[in-house]
Amino acid sequence: MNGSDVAVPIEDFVQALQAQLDRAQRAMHMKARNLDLPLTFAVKDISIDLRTQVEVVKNQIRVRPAGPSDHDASVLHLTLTTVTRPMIEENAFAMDATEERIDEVKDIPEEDRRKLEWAGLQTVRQLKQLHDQEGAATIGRMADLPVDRLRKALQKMVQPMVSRVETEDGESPAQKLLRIRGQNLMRQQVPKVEIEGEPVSVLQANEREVLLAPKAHQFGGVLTIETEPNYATQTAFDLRPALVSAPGKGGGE
Amino acid sequence: MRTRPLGDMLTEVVGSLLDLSAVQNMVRATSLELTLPIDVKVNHSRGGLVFCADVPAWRWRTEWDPPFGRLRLKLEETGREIEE
Repeated sequence: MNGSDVAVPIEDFVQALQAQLDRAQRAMHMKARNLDLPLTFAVKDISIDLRTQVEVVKNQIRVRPAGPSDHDASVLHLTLTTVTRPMIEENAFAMDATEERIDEVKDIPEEDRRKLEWAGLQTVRQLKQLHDQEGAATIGRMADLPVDRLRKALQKMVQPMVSRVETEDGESPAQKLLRIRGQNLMRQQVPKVEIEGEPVSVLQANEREVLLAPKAHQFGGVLTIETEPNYATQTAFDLRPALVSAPGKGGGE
Repeated sequence: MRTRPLGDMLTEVVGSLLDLSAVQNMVRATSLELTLPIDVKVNHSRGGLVFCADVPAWRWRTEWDPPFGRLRLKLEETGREIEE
């Protein structure tokens, strides 16, 4: 291997190799089609031995071309095989495209994010689930991360947040409900909700929405949602004028 | 000699075998294995890294040439529709 003296991340290196193999397969397919051949040759297996210097920089494995005098360089042995569509589907990691990925979370330093990915945690949902099941200490051990730092980042990630408060009709026209939208509004159990310090009945709750059945005087004030001890958010809202003038949507924070 | 992207080199090697598929002989090659010495270079382009690998320009290495890499390649005849 020669050329660039700059070490490149091994995943980029392998991706560049895969891109070239895909390109060759596509080119062969096009040639066979242009020549109207029913059969073609395709790359079934490929392996490459390369002499490289391997470095670990900030938990990232990087490979650097072995120079002429690098007699003790490592040998990187890569074996790739053709995968079929059923194989891809069988082994694909089921992930919602809209899910927030760990590498997008700004509250976690890049080095820590990489460690979490190494531990098999790709999405924020996975991290939260594991945190709920095992706690921050276990994740810290798994990913070799300082527990305090991880706990702080997780606290930020699971902190409830209200983005909108709306009124809506209940089962009868006279009944008015409050729908709260936001993030992390429910964890393992139904959240405690209060308006001006007075409890409110929770009809439905999930991570993004909470449906409340407030009493007549509870359509304004400070809304407090506590998903568990030390995880609470407060929002001031006032939907009383909206209720008087016309039914509909109101503000929140 | 310029080191070509690996895909170009493979296309040329495999492309030269297409004639084998075109001839309707009673006996024909259906798979092929190659082991090649290669010069490898990783180029940076706007689209990202480009993995370049090509057969060496010279058979002999000098003290100032980096060592050869080695490419083992197994090719198999396959139906065109399978890839689509």
